Amino acid sequence: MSDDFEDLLKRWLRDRAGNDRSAIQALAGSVAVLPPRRAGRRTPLAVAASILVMIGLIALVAPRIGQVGSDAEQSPRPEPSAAASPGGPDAFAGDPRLSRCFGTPEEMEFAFEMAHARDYRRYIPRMGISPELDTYAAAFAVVYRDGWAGPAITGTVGAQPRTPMPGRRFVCILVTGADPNLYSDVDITGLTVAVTPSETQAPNLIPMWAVNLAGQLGCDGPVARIGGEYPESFGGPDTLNNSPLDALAVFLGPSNPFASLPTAGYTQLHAEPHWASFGHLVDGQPKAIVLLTDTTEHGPGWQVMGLRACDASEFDPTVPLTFPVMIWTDQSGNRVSTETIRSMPGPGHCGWDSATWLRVEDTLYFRDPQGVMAEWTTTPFALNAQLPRSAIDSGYRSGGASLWIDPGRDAYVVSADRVERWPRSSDPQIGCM
Amino acid sequence: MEAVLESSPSPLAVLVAAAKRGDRDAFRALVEPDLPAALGTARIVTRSEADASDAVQEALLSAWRGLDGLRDPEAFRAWFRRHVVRAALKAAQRRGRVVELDLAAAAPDGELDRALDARTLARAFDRLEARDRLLLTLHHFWDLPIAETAAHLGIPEGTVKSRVHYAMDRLRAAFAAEERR
Repeated sequence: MSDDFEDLLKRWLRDRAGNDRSAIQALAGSVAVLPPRRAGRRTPLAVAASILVMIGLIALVAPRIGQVGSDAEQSPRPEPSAAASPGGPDAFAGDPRLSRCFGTPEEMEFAFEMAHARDYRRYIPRMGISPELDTYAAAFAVVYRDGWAGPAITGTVGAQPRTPMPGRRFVCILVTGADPNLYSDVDITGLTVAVTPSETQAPNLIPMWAVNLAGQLGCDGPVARIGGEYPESFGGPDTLNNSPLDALAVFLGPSNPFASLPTAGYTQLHAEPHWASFGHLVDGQPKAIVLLTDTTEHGPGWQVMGLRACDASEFDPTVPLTFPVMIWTDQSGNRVSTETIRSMPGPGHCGWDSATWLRVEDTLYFRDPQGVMAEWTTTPFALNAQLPRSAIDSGYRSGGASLWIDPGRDAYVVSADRVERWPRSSDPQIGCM
Repeated sequence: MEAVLESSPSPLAVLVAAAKRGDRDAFRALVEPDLPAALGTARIVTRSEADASDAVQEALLSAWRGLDGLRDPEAFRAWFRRHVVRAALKAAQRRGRVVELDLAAAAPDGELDRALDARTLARAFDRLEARDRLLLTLHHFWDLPIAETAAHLGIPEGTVKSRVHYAMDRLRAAFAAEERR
């Protein structure tokens, strides 16, 4: 059995490895255009990295060997295919996609649509390998005029517009539903729109919008640590269902293990066969994104397979949370991140739900009328306590109450009619397994 | 005669020295014999034609730039493979689990059972982590001895043995699960 399986594996590895002579020859040929070893010029990747830093959200991918590395005399001046070259940007006057790419229409020479982004090398045959375009989503492309030096870059010390190599162009490719990608030094020889789009959609291909959910969020603060990206670190609880919406509803139901998600107010962000995503939007910004697919190994049906979210303090305050976390405010009424302060009922399965847990930074306090947390405290909870002179107003508010902290000791919740003492936990990491 | 042989650099050393001076043809002569295996390995590990080609290009570039760090010319082949391994793993991890289905490859010679096995194995293999895929590729595709696999991956030989064992276990389990689908 073992030998048979290993033999099968070896045969299959050889099959998958293949023997694509043309690809091998192309790779061997690429050695000829490796950059000079002793010239000391910056590497294409280093250039790409620096530009990436400079332009922030723009996904910039360095052209590969054979583009940047080649010297001018090794590269004939590139020209688009005369037979089927695309039109200019005028054909897309007023199209918002033009403005999402960079530069002005005057700086653009060609603009065209691509049925599938993954066909980019059918349109621009000599463009470098760009895995981020490996999606069936439609795309819009702009080729800038020869000599255009790239987007103006400000705010970065030492940053200068990048001067393209002679004859090479900047190209912007905007995949539907994603941020624009700007490519430098693209050889546009053979540029054509006479392209037969690739055929039917492969069911298991992950759409571009399904990766990097965190990057699609519009958080004011850091992205929360709950959930994870597909497929690296997240497999939702058992939500298998007949439709994405049904699976989402189950996910947000009582069995949800995540403390801080809105129970409602989700808008469908994307949908295509086998994939869907929903976002909880606040002022148009996604604050939580849930990704679902029916292509998991868990069986037929839709399942949540990705979740990224902002802090619960950024969700719509009118929508209840899947777990009753209380959001505190500062003195101005601004909601404060739950990473800084949060309160919630104690875990019920340990019999602690009569207590309220208050976590301020790394310190834990209890509102514990029944004394269920007494094992972890040195002073008792008090409904009517005297505010000690050493207590300091933390500035945090909840309803009409203010939170005072006696450093190294207990917390005091001061309302109009009383002062409650919330004892400090001797073990800030206490949990209920 | 023996003394002459000892004092003459080997053809490999001559090529490495020339490549270090910036001779691209010499570098090509050095890497060309290994390109099929390099591309095949990258294709297995990254599961993508585009990424495989990209990874080998990255390996070529990093090896070209790093030639000065190669002390023993006779070790060029293993040294270049390490660049391939690193680039393939990096590409695979960057890509995550984006899979290009290659259904045609599942039936290379028309034998239905074998084709079905291959398809099942492909799915099972794709469920493995990139490091497992790489390890099994080094062990079962390159047929590298444990010691060399350990050197490529920078881990102890004992760790290679146990990881191969567990990777095969995971592959078998994934294969069985795929068969039940």
